[in-house]
Amino acid sequence: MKRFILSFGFFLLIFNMLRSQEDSIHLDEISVTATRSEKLLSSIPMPVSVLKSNQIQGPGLIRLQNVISEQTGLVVVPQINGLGNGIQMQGLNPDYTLILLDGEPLIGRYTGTLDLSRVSTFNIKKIEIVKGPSSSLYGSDALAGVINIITDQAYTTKLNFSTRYSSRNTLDLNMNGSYVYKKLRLNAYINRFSTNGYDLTPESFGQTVAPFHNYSFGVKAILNPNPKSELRMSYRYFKEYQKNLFQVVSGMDSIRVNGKGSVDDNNLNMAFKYFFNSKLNLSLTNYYTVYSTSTDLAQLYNPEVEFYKDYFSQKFLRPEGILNFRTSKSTKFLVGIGYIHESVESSRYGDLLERIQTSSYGFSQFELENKKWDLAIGSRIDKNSNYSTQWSPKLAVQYKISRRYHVKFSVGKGFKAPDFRQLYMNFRNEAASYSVFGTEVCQQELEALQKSGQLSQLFVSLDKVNQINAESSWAFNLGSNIKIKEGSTFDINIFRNDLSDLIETIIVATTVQQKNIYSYTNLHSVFTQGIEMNFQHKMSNILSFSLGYQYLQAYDKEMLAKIRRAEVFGRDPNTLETYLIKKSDYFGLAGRSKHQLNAKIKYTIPYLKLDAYLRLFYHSKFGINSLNGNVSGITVPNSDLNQNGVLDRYDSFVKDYYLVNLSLSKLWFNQFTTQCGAENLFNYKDPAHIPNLIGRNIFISLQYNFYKS
Amino acid sequence: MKNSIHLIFALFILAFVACKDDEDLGKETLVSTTIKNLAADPGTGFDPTNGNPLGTTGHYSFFRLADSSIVDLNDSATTKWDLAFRGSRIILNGGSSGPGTTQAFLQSGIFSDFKKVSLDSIFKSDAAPTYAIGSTWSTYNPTTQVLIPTPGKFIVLKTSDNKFCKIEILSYYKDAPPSPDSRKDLPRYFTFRYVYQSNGTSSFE
Repeated sequence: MKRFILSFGFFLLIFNMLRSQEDSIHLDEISVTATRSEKLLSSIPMPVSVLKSNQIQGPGLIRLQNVISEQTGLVVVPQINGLGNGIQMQGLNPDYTLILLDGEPLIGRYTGTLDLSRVSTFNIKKIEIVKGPSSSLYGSDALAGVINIITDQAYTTKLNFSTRYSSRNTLDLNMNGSYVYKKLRLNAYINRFSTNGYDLTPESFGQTVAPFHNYSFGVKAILNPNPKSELRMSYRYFKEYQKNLFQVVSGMDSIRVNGKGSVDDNNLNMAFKYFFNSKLNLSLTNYYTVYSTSTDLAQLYNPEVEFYKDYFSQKFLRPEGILNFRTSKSTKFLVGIGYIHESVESSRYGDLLERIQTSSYGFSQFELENKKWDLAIGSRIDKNSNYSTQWSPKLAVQYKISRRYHVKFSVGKGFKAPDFRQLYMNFRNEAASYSVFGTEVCQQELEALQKSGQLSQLFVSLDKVNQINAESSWAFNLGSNIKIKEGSTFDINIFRNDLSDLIETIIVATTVQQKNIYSYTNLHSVFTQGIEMNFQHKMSNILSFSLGYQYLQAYDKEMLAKIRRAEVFGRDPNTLETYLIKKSDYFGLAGRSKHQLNAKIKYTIPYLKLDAYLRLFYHSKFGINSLNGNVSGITVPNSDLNQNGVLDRYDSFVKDYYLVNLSLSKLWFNQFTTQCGAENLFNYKDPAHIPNLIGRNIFISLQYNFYKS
Repeated sequence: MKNSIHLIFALFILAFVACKDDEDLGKETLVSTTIKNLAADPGTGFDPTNGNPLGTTGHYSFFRLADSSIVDLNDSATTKWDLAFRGSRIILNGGSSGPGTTQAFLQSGIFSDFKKVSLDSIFKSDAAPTYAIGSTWSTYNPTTQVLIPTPGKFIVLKTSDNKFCKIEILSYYKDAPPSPDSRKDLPRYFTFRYVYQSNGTSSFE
């Protein structure tokens, strides 16, 4: 808290130093994600930030996770199994942030997390980040916020190539081209990425991340047959090949396995937009995406023996229509309807039958925009085949005190539907001696086990195991944007998210062989709250810098209530004495740093056309759940030192850490750009607790831009 | 005047001496006893693949609180024992478990702060398959597969001869390791401490 006050004071100091400087017009940008209509960034009443391609390409950030990990308040968190990195926004888990590619959702979340390394950044035009629940426009998953990745579209004929080589034999090859012919605009890109992976635990057999290579291919066509209509078609294909080789430890036995893994991701979007007149337009889109993974493992010294086979395929089809009409100079309406047909086939569901979920939805939004006020009121209704109908309202308002000083407030409801895994999982792990049943299958499976006399204890009532609700939240954001002068801005945002009905695994029964059976249920209520601040300042054409800070608190509400009732204790592991846990002892939810800070400096030497980017990131200490086990070859020491299952100050924490990224970029003959740099310059590693933190990564790259004017 | 000062002085000394006597009286009756590694049918080991115990006998270990002794299995049908341990189950000599009238309940709080059994406490007897002590004295972590005594939970017990006792389980693993590891540490060994009030009162002061 002390550090928080200090940082806050620091911000205020800078702010006061600079606010006396002269007024000037700030260049504005257009953003589409927050209101689903083109709007100037300065007139959007919710917290939005836009990252432009030069902010991504400049420092040489090649995958989406590199971009995200450098933003204030966004943390790239690892999966338990190391597969996939997700985004933690405002302290909420990766499951609660919707990720859009050109406005359409990316699917394929491995245990709830969407792997960010799937997205190459070379053809990204900009990334829009909306914080706060956005289910009123986007439905499920947009609980913490929305990240919309907007790819390049053709404005002129151009061709870009880039190649980058970095540590661990990592090669990234890109080609991006645009072509404009009369009323047709075409854009295509291709990316190949390959790496040897990395190994944080050389003492154990196999790597932390096995070698893999992947291809991304995309094409986008925009046709304007007449000034009133626009036709868009875009297709993206992603394919990844993994080479697995590792050791599975089961009790005293260990088996070495190898085999192939693959990921396929197809996205097809067709859209038609018609402008009836300057006041009314209609857009119709049909989006179809298929995501699949497969893993085929065999014993290393006995290749005929199949070890593990896994298959997962998800399909998502969504037709949608949106009508936009401007009712007066300052007001407009938006009305939309849509239908989602989603299906999953997986070997983890006991058979390869297709599981289907459908939902139909409608939404509307009213917007007001005048000299002093910006207002957006909207709501959406989602009627789903598997869970109760969801109503998601949102209100956002901005008051423009002056041209430079805006205050905004938004409040809204967000939800996340139970995913297919939580509904249909039918998984029996004989070796690890447990089973997991989704809520749709749990009842029949338990009944069958009960009939055959295999259950020893049942902890739930059988007619209630199939009841599950969507997770939901209410949240508010209160903030201010201040334009100090051209190139200097200060943004502040206070947030609070109240989540209820969080879906968690529970033990529903034990078998006579003492094996646990797990299912899912709505259990906890948590809240996260904090403050985020960003300060950007351009000192001159040579030097500019930015500072970002987030203070975060995240607590389980029931745990707080128990602590308040003096029902939570801890035990000293050595003296075995018991003591009471006070509220000030409770640290909150695991995996969340209270303080997160970033500082970025860009230094330009104009006559050399050289840009240097130095970035520093700080994460304060955070807790982990009591793993006390083996994560990729390392024995993780027990973190719950006082044996109470609560993260409190007596437990062990993951140490706070700094990361430094440095890159240099030089332009030659206005067409070639060379870059070199180091990510994680000081080679900070914590394999047991942060398996996605790779050591130092040194890179060089060459880019060639060919433009036809 | 002088005499009265002497008198007051003498009274003070008397009071001081009297107080000292009182303190000595309380001290000699109550001690906290710690029992280490009480074997609760540990068997010969455990199956490393699933953690199930191997070579167990199915018999309880019977314990008498008054003199901290293990009671022979052959005396299981007598009132010589107060409580018994097998795996994570703790039974009482009474109800469905034995011929005595031992009863208990689980109390939340700090063991050493618990000074008196209140008159309205509800003592329970074993009534299989429900046991007075139940399972909430411990917490099982399915991730680490470790069973730990829940901090802040202890047993308040009334023996068959109406003596009160408070018992706190400290560890379920051999030698009470600070951070039990299910793959290394042997389960089914109890370490616990207790305070036995032999004078028949409900006070632990």
